[in-house]
Amino acid sequence: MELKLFKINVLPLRSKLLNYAKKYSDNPDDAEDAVQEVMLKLWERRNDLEQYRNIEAYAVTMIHNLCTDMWRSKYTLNLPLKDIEETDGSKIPERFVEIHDEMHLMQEIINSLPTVQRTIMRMKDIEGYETDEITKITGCSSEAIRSNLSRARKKVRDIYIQAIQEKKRRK
Amino acid sequence: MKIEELLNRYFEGKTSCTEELELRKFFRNKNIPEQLRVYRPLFLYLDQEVKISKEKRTHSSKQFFFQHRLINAISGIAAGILVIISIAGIWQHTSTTPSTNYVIINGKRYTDINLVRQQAFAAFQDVKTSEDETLNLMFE
Repeated sequence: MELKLFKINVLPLRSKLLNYAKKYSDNPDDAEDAVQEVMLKLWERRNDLEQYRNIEAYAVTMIHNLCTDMWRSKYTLNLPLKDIEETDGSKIPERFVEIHDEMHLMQEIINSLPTVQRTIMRMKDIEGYETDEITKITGCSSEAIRSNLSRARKKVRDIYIQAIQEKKRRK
Repeated sequence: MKIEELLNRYFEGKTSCTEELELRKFFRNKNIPEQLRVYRPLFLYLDQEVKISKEKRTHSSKQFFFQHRLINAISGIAAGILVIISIAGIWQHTSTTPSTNYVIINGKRYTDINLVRQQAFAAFQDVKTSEDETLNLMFE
């Protein structure tokens, strides 16, 4: 699905998804995060969307599943979502240290990023969209885009530095 | 703008696509300062992915163009066949109608409609059976 069709078929669903997410979440920020994530997942899967007869039903299922997962992880661990993300990134996974090819390592690090950060980084750094265009596609504010982009890039840089330091330490 | 400054802006998410291209170009060089070498794999990876992404886009647009042309060609051929069939039908209808009615008397072909009707009527009279003849045939 090209950008033009995506704008026509998917972007108008945003407000509906947000209302749906708000019913599930007591925190409006979590609802907004969930919608951002779903919009970005839809963008990632834009080439497969044409095979779905009802994109709206597909998007609603996505937001439903995501909200359920968020609710579960939030209440089972009893931690705010932000803290969960922070603890996840504190230690690098062993598999990063074991990868010898640097291009492969970069790919793995970027793939390990949270969906929102990964997709925004791919859109900006690989697909070549300007921040304004990403804002229009996702409906996120430009500040949210910039912040996620910055976090993604810094995380990639930090994980890579940690991985090569760990490799040197082991030699 | 210095590369270090550009890098800082990059990690703050403040660079434009043009500035990012500038960074990727810079890191393509093998001779870069020691303190910046750590960033090279990231930009080389991004450079490689940009190329793959562009190739995919070109391929998909080519594929779309090809499909579009194929559909156009098939539609054109189908329309052409339809026109040929229609023309052939009309031609057959107009060209065969006058010559369908004829009578051959003593090996000679006559197309005069009155003569044809007269001969056909005479032929029907020959094969005609009366009601009595029909009943006789049925209960014989």
